Amino acid sequence: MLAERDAIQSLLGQVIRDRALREQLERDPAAALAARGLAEADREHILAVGVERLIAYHEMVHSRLFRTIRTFIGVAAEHLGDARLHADVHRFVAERGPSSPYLREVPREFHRWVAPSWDADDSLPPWLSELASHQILRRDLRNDPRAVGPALDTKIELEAPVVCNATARVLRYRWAVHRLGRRPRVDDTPTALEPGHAVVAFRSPAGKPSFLDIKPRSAALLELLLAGKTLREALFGACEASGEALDDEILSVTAVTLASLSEAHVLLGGRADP
Amino acid sequence: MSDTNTSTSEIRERLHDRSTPTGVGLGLRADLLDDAHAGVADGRVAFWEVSPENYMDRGGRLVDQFEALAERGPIITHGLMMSLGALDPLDDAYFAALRGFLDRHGRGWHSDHLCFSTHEGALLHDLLPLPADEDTARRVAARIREASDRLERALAIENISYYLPMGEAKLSEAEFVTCVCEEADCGLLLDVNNVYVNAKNFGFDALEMLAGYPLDRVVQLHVAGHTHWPRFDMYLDDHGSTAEPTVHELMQWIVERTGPLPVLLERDKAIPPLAELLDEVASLQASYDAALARRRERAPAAPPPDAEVAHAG
Repeated sequence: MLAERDAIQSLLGQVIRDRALREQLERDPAAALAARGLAEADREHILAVGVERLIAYHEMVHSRLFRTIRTFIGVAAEHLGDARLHADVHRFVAERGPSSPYLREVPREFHRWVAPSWDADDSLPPWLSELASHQILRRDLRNDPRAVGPALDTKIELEAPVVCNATARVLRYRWAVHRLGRRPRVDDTPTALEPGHAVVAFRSPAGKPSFLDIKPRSAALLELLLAGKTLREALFGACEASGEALDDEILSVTAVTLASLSEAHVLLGGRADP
Repeated sequence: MSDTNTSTSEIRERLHDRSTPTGVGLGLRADLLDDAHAGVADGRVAFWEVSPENYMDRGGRLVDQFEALAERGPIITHGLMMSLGALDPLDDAYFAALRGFLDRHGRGWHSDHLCFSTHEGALLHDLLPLPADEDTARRVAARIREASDRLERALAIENISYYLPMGEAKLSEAEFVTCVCEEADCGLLLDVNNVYVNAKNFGFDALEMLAGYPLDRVVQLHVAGHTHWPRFDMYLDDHGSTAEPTVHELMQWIVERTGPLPVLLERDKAIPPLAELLDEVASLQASYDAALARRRERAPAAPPPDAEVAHAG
């Protein structure tokens, strides 16, 4: 008896996820239900109300997920078109489905899953996936559970790690999607960036998603500082990454970089107890 | 079904305490946070109801505003994603995060829905109906007890609206909910709009159905609006409009029998400005107060105190 009840629950889940099953139900409801292992009485009760109600659930779930994803990817959705986005969301729900209990995380899950297919599709703009990811990132930054932290009075020291804005991260963008502003218009298209171009993304003390362009060696330095390395370790690590020898000019540029990142609230100050 | 005779409000006595707000509260939504944080609703709502999932594992301005609001007035928590009726195991990470949130913001009970939301590991972010029979009731009751143990907190379950029968129903919705609540020994968050929507969609009498619910287990009520979905010719519990007078009447019918309760006005779609929503809160509060007044009028007169002087002869 319990197995029969489980079959009904499973049916609803399958109808919601599987577009092909939904189409079977629309074509021949009785046969589609019979093929799912439901008891005759159960099939009769569902058919009496109409399989449209099963399809209504399919619509409700997809509608909610589609709207959420569409909202989060912003203008990227306009470039993609609703028909394509609907099709991709259907495939996502069928093949993988959301795994987070937080609806706000579903767009990121969707993007991670769909990005390879968008990148490989020559009919789509080459920057589309990155634009969608950036739009989602804006919300990720606003929602990041880590505290931004206040600016500290402690000086940054060579032999100590640096206290950093916990929300800060270094990204390698191929397209200048971060320069399109908070609400890009559909005719705004990002320019191509030099290979290795880096962007620092973080939440400001005022709660705003913020983005800074940063040169490759400084990006490597910041990544090491964010990973908890001392300034010395980060300096030498960054030089090694860029194939340069540490010299006075690099030290001078680094001092300016540290000051800029501190002013931007990416770096907060020296650690009191290294 | 069990004929265990709990005292009239044993569950309420267990789950409610002096700090339990009664009267009409409002669901806290992101659209309302700025105004709520600015104090527009101060003194005009009995409590805010929050879904922990909107604030768990999250930071930033929205959470800061919520935390400030939680400092100022009563909060009641009502979850969305426990998926108590699912065939999948309970989600460890979710329950750990929820436990942390409830330790900071929870009160005598936490609630979630009598539904399932997962299918083979995928979270569908909807409240999906369960087959209404005793086997399912016992299975779900066991999960409710497990959830309550994990959270170290009493639970209340909410009856949902449903749009198709999950096979041949062996029990009515009221019988099913009663069976689950008694097996799980949990409270009931009774959504009167959901009963009304189900009555409209399936042609039964809403009040008759309500009368079959375990009123002794009711710890909270939900009131909301609903709309008609022409494409599927059914009424949808979308919380997208003003609650109908009938829903007020159903709420009153309950309150006349239970006494004071927290009553939540839900609005999730086409959310008007907070000032406008507060007018609806006031209207619902007036209905609630009228119900309590009728309850007091019907209460048996208190016996007179023992006389100190008795007339002789």
